Amino acid sequence: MVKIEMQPDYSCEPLWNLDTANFAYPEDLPLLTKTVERLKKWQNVYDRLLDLEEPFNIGFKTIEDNQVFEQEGLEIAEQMQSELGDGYEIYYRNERVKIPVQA
Amino acid sequence: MAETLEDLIAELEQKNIKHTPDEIIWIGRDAEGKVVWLENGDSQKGLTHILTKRKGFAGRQVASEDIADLILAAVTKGNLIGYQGQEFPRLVFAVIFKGKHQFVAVSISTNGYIVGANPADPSRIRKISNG
Repeated sequence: MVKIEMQPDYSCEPLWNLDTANFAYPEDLPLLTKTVERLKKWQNVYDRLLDLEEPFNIGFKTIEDNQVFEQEGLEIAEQMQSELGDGYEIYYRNERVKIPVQA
Repeated sequence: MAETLEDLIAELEQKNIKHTPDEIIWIGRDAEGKVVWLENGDSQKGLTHILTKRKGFAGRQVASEDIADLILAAVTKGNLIGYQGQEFPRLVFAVIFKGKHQFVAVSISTNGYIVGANPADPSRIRKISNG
């Protein structure tokens, strides 16, 4: 069982392999290309929050922006869990992700 | 005479650098003599943000309560060996902390505020060339 945690951070890979104590590189995982691209786009949103000139300005401009980011992150994590299957445990911000039940 | 925490905070005030004295975890100087400091911050910056990576540090045998001290050791006593990331790369320091070699990537703002940090991947560091 491979345990992977998804956490956004600046100038970082968004995935961390909890077993090897190192980054997990999305392109090395059996994920769909569109999921990898979605993950990178999500990470880019976080990277754009960084302001090294005015660090006290770092953060989402609105609560809604933050909520949209978190919702997208959770959905990507769920998609990853669905694609990676039983051999992987995906965690989003410390919480184990469950595959949503299809309607 | 060694500088005190108060001396360094006074320097920030003298230079009109925005900071939150009551939130400062530690303050020191980097290898170039610039004042650098870590505040509690929030979920997007500072120690609170860094602690979201506590499992990552734990995997490198660094307890949550030691993370702030590890970053202090890295930026004030470590060797700058390279960079992580592209557009606004983190500085990667090599440091011996509590008897173990550690590689720590740190985002330091222009004014010295520590924004974030993570355990670095030694195999992916863009090393500083010596030539």
